[in-house]
Amino acid sequence: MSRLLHVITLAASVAALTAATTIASAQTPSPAPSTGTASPAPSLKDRLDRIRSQVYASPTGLRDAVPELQQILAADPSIAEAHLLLGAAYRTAGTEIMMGEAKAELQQAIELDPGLIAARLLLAQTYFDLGRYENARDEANVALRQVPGQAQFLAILGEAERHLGDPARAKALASLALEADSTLTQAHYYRARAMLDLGERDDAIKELEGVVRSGAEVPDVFLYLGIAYIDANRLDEAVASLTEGASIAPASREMTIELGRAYRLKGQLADAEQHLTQAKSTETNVQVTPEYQRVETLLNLEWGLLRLKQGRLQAAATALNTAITMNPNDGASHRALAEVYLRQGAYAKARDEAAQAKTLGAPLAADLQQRIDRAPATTAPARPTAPPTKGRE
Amino acid sequence: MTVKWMLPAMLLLAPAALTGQRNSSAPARPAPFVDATAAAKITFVHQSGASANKYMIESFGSGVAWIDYDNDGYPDLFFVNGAPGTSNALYHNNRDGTFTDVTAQTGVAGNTGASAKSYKTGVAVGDFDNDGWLDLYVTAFGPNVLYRNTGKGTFVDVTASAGVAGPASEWSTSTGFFDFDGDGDLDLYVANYLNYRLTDNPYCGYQKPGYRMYCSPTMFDGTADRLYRNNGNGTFTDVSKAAGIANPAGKGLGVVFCDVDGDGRTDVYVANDQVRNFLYHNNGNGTFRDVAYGAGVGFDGNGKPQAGMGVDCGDVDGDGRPELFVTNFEDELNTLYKNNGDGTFADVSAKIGLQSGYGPLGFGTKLFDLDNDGDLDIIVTNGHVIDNVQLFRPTSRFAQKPLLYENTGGGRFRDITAQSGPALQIARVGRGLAVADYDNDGDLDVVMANQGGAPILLKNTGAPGANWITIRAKGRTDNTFGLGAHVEIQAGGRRQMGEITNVASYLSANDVRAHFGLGAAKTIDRLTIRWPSGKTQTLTGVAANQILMVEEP
Repeated sequence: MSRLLHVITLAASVAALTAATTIASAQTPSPAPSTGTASPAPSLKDRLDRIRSQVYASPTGLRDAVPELQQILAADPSIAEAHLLLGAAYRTAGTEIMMGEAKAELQQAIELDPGLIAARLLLAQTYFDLGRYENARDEANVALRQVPGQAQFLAILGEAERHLGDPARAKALASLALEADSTLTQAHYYRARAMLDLGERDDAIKELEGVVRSGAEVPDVFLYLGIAYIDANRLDEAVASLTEGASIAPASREMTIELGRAYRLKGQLADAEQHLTQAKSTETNVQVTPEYQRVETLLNLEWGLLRLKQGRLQAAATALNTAITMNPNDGASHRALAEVYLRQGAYAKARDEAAQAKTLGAPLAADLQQRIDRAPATTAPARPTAPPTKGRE
Repeated sequence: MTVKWMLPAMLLLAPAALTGQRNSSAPARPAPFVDATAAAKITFVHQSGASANKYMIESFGSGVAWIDYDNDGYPDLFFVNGAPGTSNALYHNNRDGTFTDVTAQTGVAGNTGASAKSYKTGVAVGDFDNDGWLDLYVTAFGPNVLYRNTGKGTFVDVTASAGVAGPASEWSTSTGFFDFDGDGDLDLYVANYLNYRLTDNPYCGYQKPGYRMYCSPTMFDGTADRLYRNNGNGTFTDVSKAAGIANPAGKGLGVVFCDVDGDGRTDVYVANDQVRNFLYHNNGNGTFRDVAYGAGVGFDGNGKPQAGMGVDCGDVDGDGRPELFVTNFEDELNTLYKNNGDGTFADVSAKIGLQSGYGPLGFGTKLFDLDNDGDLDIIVTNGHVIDNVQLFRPTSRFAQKPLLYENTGGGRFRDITAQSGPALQIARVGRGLAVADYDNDGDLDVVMANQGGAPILLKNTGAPGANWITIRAKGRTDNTFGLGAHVEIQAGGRRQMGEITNVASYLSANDVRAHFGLGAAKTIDRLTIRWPSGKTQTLTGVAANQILMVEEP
């Protein structure tokens, strides 16, 4: 499950869906024969209208509509909008396999009616959730050819570009989206993410605070605002933001890990440990996806840093090595491991890890690097009582 | 009416002692299967192309087909090989239990030209040009290949002129010939899997040596299947979209043709991997309609999509209506959808004795009458898709034992794998599977194609006292092997139905002849064939224990 899964909550999806459906019907005639949306039998149309409105009624509205949508498609599988709504409903399940099924339904909707912009919007977002950013970019580009300048797709295109390594273009596209629709919180959020990638943390915080003030209950907004607060050493605000996010998305492992990090930095080590324990994966699926690796890396790094702070050096080394197993290019883990080895007196290993950390763009703090540089060539007895120094912030 | 009695000598090979039809309370009989691979002189070894890059296609395996390419009445054996540059293998059946590798002289190696860079996957067998000789179609991650049987012991690659290569980037899987439009020639269905490129190969698994794993198909898009209409002149037209089977969400692995609603037209069921399965109802006007939602065969009984792999269709409970059977991923039951007779099906997998299929990861399969007692038993090959799965899930294994289920009556099963001989106790990385009575001794044998290894030929040692009949349909206005004909048999007070079809399982093709166990019945009271053309033919008083060629009137 990707970090952006949490961004696309039911409410956000429905809002986007509604907006885009309006666009599709009002501005974009279907370029292909639309067997589904053109003129379903009145009773079916009534049912679809009711289901569509049902999504406003309760957060579980779409999920509850699944059996009826399946019945509708059993009667006529060519109704594009039913596939769209079913795809939207499957997305709410959140599991990997149902995200795949959601993708399948949305693709069918588009196949049946290429002008059904709402389906393309949800499909692009589903690609985000599955970490398929090139596909998301493709969908956004296709949609923008159909509805040039449409704010949501500009925002999505920008976010795809950010994931694909171009935060500057991402920021520009998000700004374009906001020129088209300044109220589009999704674009504000994406622009903030681009700002964070560009190192414009304080501007990003302001942007994210604005999103929160707008009333958007989107977990990832609270997550990244929390992370930004941590980086700004505004730890109380970080805890508040992350706690709010966790209340919306209690299953978010990343939120819980970041809460653990915030508590560690505040010195509340018991709280940190409690949250990291809570963040342990409950996945039974054997598949180790890139997203799973990313979150596991974060978790093990945080365990390592917590153990380091507790002076439990061997446990710290174990956790950090696990993080590096998940991602050998995680500079922060190498940096922390260098410190662990230094404190254990394993100077050669400390030097190796420090060098790797530097290569990976995560150099050690100057004082720590100096201690490693001055350390004897041979391994010394561990000094578990040495004072802790900063690792990941 | 023309009836030819074919291979009468086979009567001599029929079981001599008739001890009556066995039932579920009968004592265990001797193990049915022996490993005949070595004795048959089959030396083929599949190569998957497994690499450190963990391209998903490497875990796919390949199919196997029974094809009597020389029309001598004995099914020959064709193995698809996987990795680019590797050779397929065609083995001629020497009629004495041995086979001879005739790949080179027949021209079906498939390791040169456009195929040289392909990962070859599935196989279909059918006489697409109605010249009386069975042709071959081999699918691939890459261009597919159609081999026309010249009737002179050789095949010619006619892919380009026929127009059935498909895009070179397409990942095709199971395939089969059938006459979907009733015009008397065989059309071609090709299931497609993922929209996948070797250059888009995410890293899954842990980032340390040995811990990279094959990714999940959920990471990739599906891609639409293809339906090629036979133009009757050696060429085909891609009618996928017009026919209504081009669902871009499909991740097709298994395909089976079956008239599920008894309307006389062949429907198509596609097992998809981690998205719902499709049931394409044949509208009879050149189009299909996906009725999976209404029929209840898209998901399991809990409403979840499964990782469908192999598939078959057959009347397992003897009510005259065909069930659908799908093999699935580990931690999923293999699914049996019971045909309710009203256009709907019910997932009865958990209630009929198939629970042992929950752990293994199923692939090739066949509903077949193992013991000639008149009902359909089930065999399943198993094997994980992740070669190092044990590193991530200690209880899982890459190589897994197959499963053999005996139908104990009324569509209830018991797992008899453990009692079925040492050949079934060996764990292999099973993929393709195909069934034929290759030695014409009156019981069905099985070949399993294993990924990255040697296949196994399982010779059925027979069911004492059980009678049988094998029907070789010969079309006149219909396709020459009568594919799609519906067969109904009344013998010994029971009725059986089946179809002349060789399409089922995973990536594989079975014998084109239909086999029925008759239990204690020595005579078939009534044998009715409804040909795809609509003609109906009835034979009475047909003796058991023969291979019967029935020619379309």
